[in-house]
Order: sequence, then structure tokens, then C-alpha cells
Amino acid sequence: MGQLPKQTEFTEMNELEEMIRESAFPKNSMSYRIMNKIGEREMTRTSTKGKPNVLKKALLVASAAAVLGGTVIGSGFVSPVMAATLKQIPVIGVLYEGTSEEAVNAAIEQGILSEPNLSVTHDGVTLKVADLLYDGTRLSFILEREGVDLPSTASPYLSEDAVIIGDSDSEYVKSKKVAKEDQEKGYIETPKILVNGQQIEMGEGTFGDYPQQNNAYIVELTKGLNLPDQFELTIQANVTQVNENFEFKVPVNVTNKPVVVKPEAASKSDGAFSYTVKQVDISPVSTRLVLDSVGPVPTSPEQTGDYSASMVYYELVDDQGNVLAPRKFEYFNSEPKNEYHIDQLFSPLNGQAKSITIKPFTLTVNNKDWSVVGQGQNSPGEKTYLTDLELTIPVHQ
Amino acid sequence: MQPTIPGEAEGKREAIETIIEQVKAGEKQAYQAIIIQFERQMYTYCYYILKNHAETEDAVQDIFIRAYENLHQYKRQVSFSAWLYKMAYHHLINIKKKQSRFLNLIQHYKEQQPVMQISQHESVVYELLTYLTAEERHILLLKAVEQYTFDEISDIMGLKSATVRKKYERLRQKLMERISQKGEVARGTIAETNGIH
Repeated sequence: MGQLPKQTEFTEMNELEEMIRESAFPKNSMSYRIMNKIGEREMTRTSTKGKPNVLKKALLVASAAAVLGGTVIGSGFVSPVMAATLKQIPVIGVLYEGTSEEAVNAAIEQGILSEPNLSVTHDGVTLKVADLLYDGTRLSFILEREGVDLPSTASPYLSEDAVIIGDSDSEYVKSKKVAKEDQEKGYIETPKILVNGQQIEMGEGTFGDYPQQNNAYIVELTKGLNLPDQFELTIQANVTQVNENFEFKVPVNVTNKPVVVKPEAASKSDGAFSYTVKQVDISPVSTRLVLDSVGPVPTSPEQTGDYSASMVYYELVDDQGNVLAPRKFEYFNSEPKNEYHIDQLFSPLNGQAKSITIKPFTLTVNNKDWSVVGQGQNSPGEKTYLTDLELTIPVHQ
Repeated sequence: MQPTIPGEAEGKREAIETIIEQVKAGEKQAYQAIIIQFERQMYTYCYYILKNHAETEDAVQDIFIRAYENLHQYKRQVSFSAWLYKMAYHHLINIKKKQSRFLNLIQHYKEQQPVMQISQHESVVYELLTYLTAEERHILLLKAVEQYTFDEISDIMGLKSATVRKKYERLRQKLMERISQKGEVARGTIAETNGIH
């Protein structure tokens, strides 16, 4: 190698590296949000798998098949990036991409979508329940905040019992683990949600900043809800440095129950791989597909050697050829598992549709780096449709 | 450089291993301590590759969830930290491959976030990174955020240690040239940061 670098250059590199290390901060500790996601995973498994001992084993098996290289794209507002796409939608952020104005009107008429505009003020801080959606399959609402000048709404603080490894005096830990009385005023802590006075039961949910709008906080519960058509929803929120609780009671009354299709004989098999549709929920503002699959993923001639087939994904198409957008698209680019329980939300079905066709497909994965063949602009990747496994389900809306 | 207390790093490593064992044994909640321990540096790493806060949050979340899901595959031979960053490295490469599709959205998002703060340091680092190739950026960031050795970086990126060393030398020269071209301004900015934040 050439001449030795000068001492000053080494020093400058050290300084530059230190500058990098110290410069970009996450606004909040993401640990609650992430733990919440992880928690949901187990909760879902708990409810489907049963007994404790079996559960532990099942968890190990299940996670043994989980893989690297995943990411999420699609049309959910869970993700701040994806939230931006939803800006296109005319009305409000609790709606999914592809929701027509017609559907919004129907949702309002049926009591699915409302703007309660209830507000509570304590100590100069106002919280307002702006938009509320319950369609029998998911519950979402937005809390708007006033009277606070902070760039975000969700509390960035770690609770006092959070475990810290190693240096609990580090600048980062000190900035997040702050005694109650020293916290900045005006952040919203994870709200409590009650239905008819009881803590709500749910399998998956998102709580946090709603990035499309300043001073807005979103809650979306998407799985494991088992609620009546009429109930009283109670939202209890705490705000840092405000002693009083912000409590809202919102009556929810859905007049038209969303259509739940539980098809009979809705199984398809190619001999080795098979799936059974358990349920399709159709509401004006979302579509849910629930199915179980068993068996090894069918592979095409291209999916051998350096390439392999991903897990099986399911596309929904109505009888007019409209493809429903999945709320999110999760990549699991590796050896697929033998069994899957799919419970996924899609954009709403057009009101005139008479049937839905389920079109299973796989993606082709490069074994070396988990990249997906054909993945790019507006495409999750090249789809290999499993035409033998297509299934059409009639719907009567 | 931070002064190192003898035994401190070793102790922390042990503490992390203990927690990993707890999580593997079913104490899910213990994983939060792992997130807190690594999230800040992980955020910095992802942020300077992705250049967007919203996407960085998504990426950090995904990386920690994947790590949790794959925890049983982690064996003590490697450090947990290097194992985690290996996952992050692959994840970021995958995201970058399809990032072009996000560009419009990011633009949108920025318009929505007039208050997004970019520190002076951030913009200097940003600018310097534009002179580097994607691979060089990963090397520099891994060395910076977690103070990894060339051996550790080579393990994370799947390159030979000697190659990483050579590439680091090249990127260092590139950056030094840039800095001296920009003269007093850049030099001044970097010097200012010494020991302060």
C-alpha cells in the first residue's frame, strides 16, 4: 500500500465517525411499539394453538421456519411511509386505499364511520376523538391534540420499570428514561380501550403517531376483535404532566352487520398443498380473508437451484376483474413453513361484485441474498400464479 | 473516542447473552431491554442508508422483529450484536433495491413534516456520504455506529477482512480529499464536534 496516512487524517476520521454516531436520533424509543408487535404474534398463536406445553413447542417450530430478509410494503397506514400513500384518499386516514366515495357514504349511513368530535381539555391540553371506524372486523380512531407544541404525539419515554442493559447513564437511556415529574408536558401515553366497561380483547393493534397529520395519534385494532354491533366504546388516555385522565365515551351502533361469508367446501388441493377458506368478511371499508394452508409450496421449474418459491400468497379479484389491494405485503423470503394461518385485510370490495376469486401465487426468491425476482416499482415481485388452486366464492352483499 | 473501562465491554456482552437466554426460555418481555440497548445505533445506521426518518422507523422495527423471530438460530459463537447487524445489513440491501418506488412518497412525507429537524451534523454527514458507494457507506457506518473492527465488519458484510480494510482506506482517502477541497468550512464543522454534542 502507498504512504501511511497522516496522523491528522486518522484523527479526522475518528471525529467524523463520532459525529455519525452522535447525530441521528430516533424521536422515541421504539421498544414499546416493537414489543407490541411481537406480543401480538404470540397472542395470535396462543389463541390458535392452545395448551401451554404444546404452545412452547409450537412457538419454537413456528419461529424456526421464520426467516430473514423480510419487509412490508402495501397500503397500510401502520407504516409512516405507507401512510403517505393514503393521502390520496379523499376523506380521512382511517380508510384504506381503494375505498370509493360511494363506500364511504355507505359506511357513514351504516354507522361504521363517524366523526364524534368529542373533546376533553385538562390543564391546557385538549384531546379530541376525530374519526372513528368500526366495521365489525377492525376498529380504528384518531385522537387529535391541541394546546401542545411538540413534534410528535406518542410519549417517547420508557416506563420506570424498563430494564436497561449495561450503561444506564448513557445519554440515550437518560433521554428516554425520565422521571414522571421531569417529562415534557403533552405526550400521549398508550390509551386504554374499553368496550361496555371491559378492557377490550384484541389480537393485533397499532398505537402511535399518525404521520400524515401533525398532533394526531392513531389506534387501529385489526385482529381478534369480538364485539357486538352496539356498544359503548371508552377511550382513556393519559398525557404526560397532566394529572387528570382524558376519558371519552363513544356510542357505536353499526346498523348493517358486515357480510360474513363462511363458504362450504371451500378447499383446493393439488395433491400435496391444500388450503381451506374459513371466512371472508365484507364491509364497505375492508375485506378480510381467513384461511389455513397445509403442505409444501408448489414450485415451478424456475424455482429450483439458486432460486426457490416463497410462501403462498393470495390475491383477491372480484368478478369485474378488480384486484383488491392487500393492506400490507409481507415478505418471508426463505424456506416456507408447512402450515400457515392467513388472516389478512384487503381494500373493500366494490358494491356490485357477485363473487371473489382467490388466486394463490408464489414469488421467486434468490437463495443467496433473499432478493425477490422482479421486485421493483409498484410490484412485490414476479408472481407465479398457481392456477390449479384458484377458487371462486360467491358473495351476496 | 470513549475511554474503555477494562471488563466493561465483556460485562455488557454477558448481560446481553443472559437476556437472550431469558427470551429464548420464553420471557418475551425481556427482549425490550435488547431493543433499548441497540435501537439508537441501529437507527443511525439505517437512517444514513435510507435517508428518511419514516422509512428508518419501519426498517428498525422490522429488523428487531425478525431478530426476535430468528432468535433460536443465534448461537453464542458470534456476538449477538454482530448477528443482529448482519440481519440489518441484509435487510437494508433489500430495501434499497426497491427504494426508487418510494421516492415520490418520501417527497410527500417531507412536505407533510415541515418540522422534521435535521441537525447540522446530520447534513454534513449526509453530504459526505454522497461521495461514497453503497458498499463504502455500509463499511463506514458499521465502523462508526458500533465501532466494529474490520473482522466484525467482514463477517457482517460477507467480505474478507483484508478487503474491508482496503476499502476503508480508499473511502477514507476519498473523504479526506473532499474535506480538504471544501477547506476551512468542512474542517471547521468537523473540528467543532469534537467531544461535544
